[in-house]
Amino acid sequence: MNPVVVFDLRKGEEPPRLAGQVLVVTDTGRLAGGQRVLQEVFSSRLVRSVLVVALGPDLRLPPALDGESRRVLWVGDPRGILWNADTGEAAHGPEVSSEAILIDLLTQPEVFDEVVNGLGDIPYGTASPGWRIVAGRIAPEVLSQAFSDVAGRFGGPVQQDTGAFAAPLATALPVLSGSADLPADLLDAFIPEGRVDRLYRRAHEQVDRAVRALDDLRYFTPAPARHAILDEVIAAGRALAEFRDAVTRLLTDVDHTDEDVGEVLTAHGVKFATPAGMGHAEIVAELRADVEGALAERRSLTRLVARLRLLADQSAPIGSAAFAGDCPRICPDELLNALHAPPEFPARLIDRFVYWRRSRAWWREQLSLGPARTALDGLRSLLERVAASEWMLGEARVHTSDAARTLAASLSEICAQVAATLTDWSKAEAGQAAASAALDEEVTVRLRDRGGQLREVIAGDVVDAVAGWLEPGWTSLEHGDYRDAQLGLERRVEETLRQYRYHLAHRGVQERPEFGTGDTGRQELVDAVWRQSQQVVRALRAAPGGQMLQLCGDRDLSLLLRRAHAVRFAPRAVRGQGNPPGVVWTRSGQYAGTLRLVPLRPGTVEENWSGDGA
Amino acid sequence: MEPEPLDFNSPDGDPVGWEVEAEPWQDPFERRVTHLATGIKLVQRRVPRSEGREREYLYDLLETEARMGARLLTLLGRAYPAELPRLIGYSLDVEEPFVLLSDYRGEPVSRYSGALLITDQRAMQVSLLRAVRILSACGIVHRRIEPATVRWDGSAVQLTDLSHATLIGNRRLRMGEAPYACPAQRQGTGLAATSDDLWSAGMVIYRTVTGREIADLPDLSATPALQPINDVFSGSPPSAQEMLARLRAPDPMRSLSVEQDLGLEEGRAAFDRAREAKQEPVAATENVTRAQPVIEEEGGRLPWWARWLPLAVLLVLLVLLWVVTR
Repeated sequence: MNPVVVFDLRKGEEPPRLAGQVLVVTDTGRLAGGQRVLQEVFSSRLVRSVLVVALGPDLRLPPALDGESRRVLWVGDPRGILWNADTGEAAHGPEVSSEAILIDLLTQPEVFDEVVNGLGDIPYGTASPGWRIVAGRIAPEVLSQAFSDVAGRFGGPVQQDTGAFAAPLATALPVLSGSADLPADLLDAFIPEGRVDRLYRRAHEQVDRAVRALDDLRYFTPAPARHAILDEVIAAGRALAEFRDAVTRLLTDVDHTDEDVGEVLTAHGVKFATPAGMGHAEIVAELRADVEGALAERRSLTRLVARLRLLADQSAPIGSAAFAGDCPRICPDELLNALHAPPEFPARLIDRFVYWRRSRAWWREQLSLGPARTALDGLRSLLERVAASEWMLGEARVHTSDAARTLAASLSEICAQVAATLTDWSKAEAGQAAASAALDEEVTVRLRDRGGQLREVIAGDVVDAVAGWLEPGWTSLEHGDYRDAQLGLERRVEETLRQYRYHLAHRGVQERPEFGTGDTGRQELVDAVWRQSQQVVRALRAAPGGQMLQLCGDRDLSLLLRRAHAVRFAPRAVRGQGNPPGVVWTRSGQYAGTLRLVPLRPGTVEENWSGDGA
Repeated sequence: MEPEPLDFNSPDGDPVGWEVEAEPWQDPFERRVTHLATGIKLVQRRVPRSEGREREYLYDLLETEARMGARLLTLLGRAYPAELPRLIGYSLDVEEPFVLLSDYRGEPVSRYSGALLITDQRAMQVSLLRAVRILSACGIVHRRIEPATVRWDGSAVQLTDLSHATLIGNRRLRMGEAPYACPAQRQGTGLAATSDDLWSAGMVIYRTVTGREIADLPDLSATPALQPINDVFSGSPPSAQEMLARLRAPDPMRSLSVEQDLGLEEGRAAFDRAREAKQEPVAATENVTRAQPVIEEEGGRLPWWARWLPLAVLLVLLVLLWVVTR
């Protein structure tokens, strides 16, 4: 629904950009002078209905306000007087002007239309307004505090998080960040009959042969045969050393960033294939699901930043060179030395013939074939692990890390901007005056008591907006254009926050903003503040003839008839069971209650024919 | 901005008179100036009169900056690396002494905390370690590598502020704070070494890459990609070359040649000659400003044999005792 255009004749300006509903505000003295402009407004095809609010004593209507389309609210005294239309009893009002509230009320399109319709049933289309309203305006100090709290939440320091990255719904991210095991198919990295496979097999066979030869050692085995065992052990040691060198060299020389990494690895007999499900688009899709899931659950943004940075840190490739140092640890030089220069079988006769079993056990241990086999398998497993995690997944890990880091940077920027803007709002609100005394304030008081809930709703709304702010960046991330992902972010955030500020001021916190996705906390707030308010119920059910604040002076009361037309309205969020029929549900959440239109006695509305400029 | 004259000594000690356009001294210690004839932008670092009165060591820091700048220029010559600040000139014997340095590049690296992409992280690490390696080849320890003195321009770092630098092998002074200063430097024990700078560089790298605050030793288990820098924080740190090799980066000293010590001596001599020539007329004030030198190597250092003297005396006594009681 389009907003009601307010045209204040007292400011002497030309009509603003006209729309379907125009609210003209003027004082009674200047009404006649506005003849020309009023005619202009009335004759515009853009304008569907015009409602004139005339403030001040002695109502004189110009010719432009003649005929069927005349809709005038006469406010004799904006401070008003408490008046019971049925009994005629009157009492002093709150002594503050209610003009701003009346205009605020009438700029709600639903109320505007209802008042215009109501005036249609009243003679001369002219009435004096009176009301019993409950205000739902959030007290400035409460709002200021809520803004300041939310700003603090967004501007807080990024929490440190050094645990493992966990994303239960993702499949690629846990693997890339090292919190899940590498897929088995990636770990089988040797090309059968490739270079490293051959080296491995040879070393394996040599160790096996040496072990077999050692197993064949018998009491009567002659010295030449024992020497042959030593030769086998030396050959096994040589093959193991060769394999270790090949692994070390591969780890040092190859990096996933090399252009020809695939060819080099294939030439060395190591598989190089980009695994399925780890493409750029899939990774970004998982990241997106994770981030949007967190946003939907309204988790803390600073925590999300920490989490994404953690993912970025953990998924960044280490570089295979860093693992080269593991080779001498798995297969130490001492082991190779022992294999290269194995000790002879004990030569003393007593060891050779008397303590034969003990000597054999000692020799078997000294020849270190068990550790050699363990080292060989350890080297193979190291190479296979590094091949999978650093070479095959290298590119995917870089992408994950960079995308997560870019997202973290975007979110961090959003946090800073939100915190700064909300701090500004908080300061601006703190300078506002308190609510008007012309209204029943129970709802305002209730809102004040629920500052915590209010903060949750506002924080939730802002978190809802984050998903929209990140939206345009996802495609850039998918394409790996990390620097483009933040383009226009600041402007988007600024624009949305501006809209949200307007929303809070004009429609209230109980209405979900356009970008909002959730109502967590909002309904509870509405229930607690509006629905449970006895004053809201009383104001909505108020009899039109009962005591109300009539916006006129003491002397003007004699010009009013003792009957009234009631317009009942309330924010649509309050809608529920048990409400009286005929309530106008407004999108704005500032006021609920009854507005009564009291017709004037015949002859009171005098038409001023003196013309323009009189 | 009005043009103003600026008189100083070139690094070789020759007097130079320039006309420059200068920004106002928003920071009383530092401002940007533009050489009008060439349009070259420079940084002028000075000790303001009011500050120097209360903190005389500031003059020594400024002199160290000039001395180290001159040393680097002499040693590195034409192939001056982008990673180090380049001394353009100095004027130390005036009421408000200053040094002129080449303009800063990029922004302090703290601005990029936790936001560098992997290629940039790598380039930043390599560039910072290159700077440390070049300084070490020139015999210098920076002693103040921290986020505020490291700048990043998207392709290379620039290490600024040589005012706390010293020569390798000089006794360590108690200086700096955790986490960027290594424990030995904080305690002031042992001799200044490149490992001090490597420690600080490692901390800067950790802070910049992860964006995490650190109080003391970082926990590298959550950042596997930084494993290669892990042992700079250990008792037996690797050399800068080794660190570069781990990052598959070439040793910069293969392409840069450090001039022989002969050249260094000449450069130093030129600097000292220029200083002396300037100092003679103001010898009296010089004594005042250098009453409490901060750079320890210049004051109170004992001859090399002095520390062994007690041991030698003890040994002689023991031998005497043995001879007598035999």
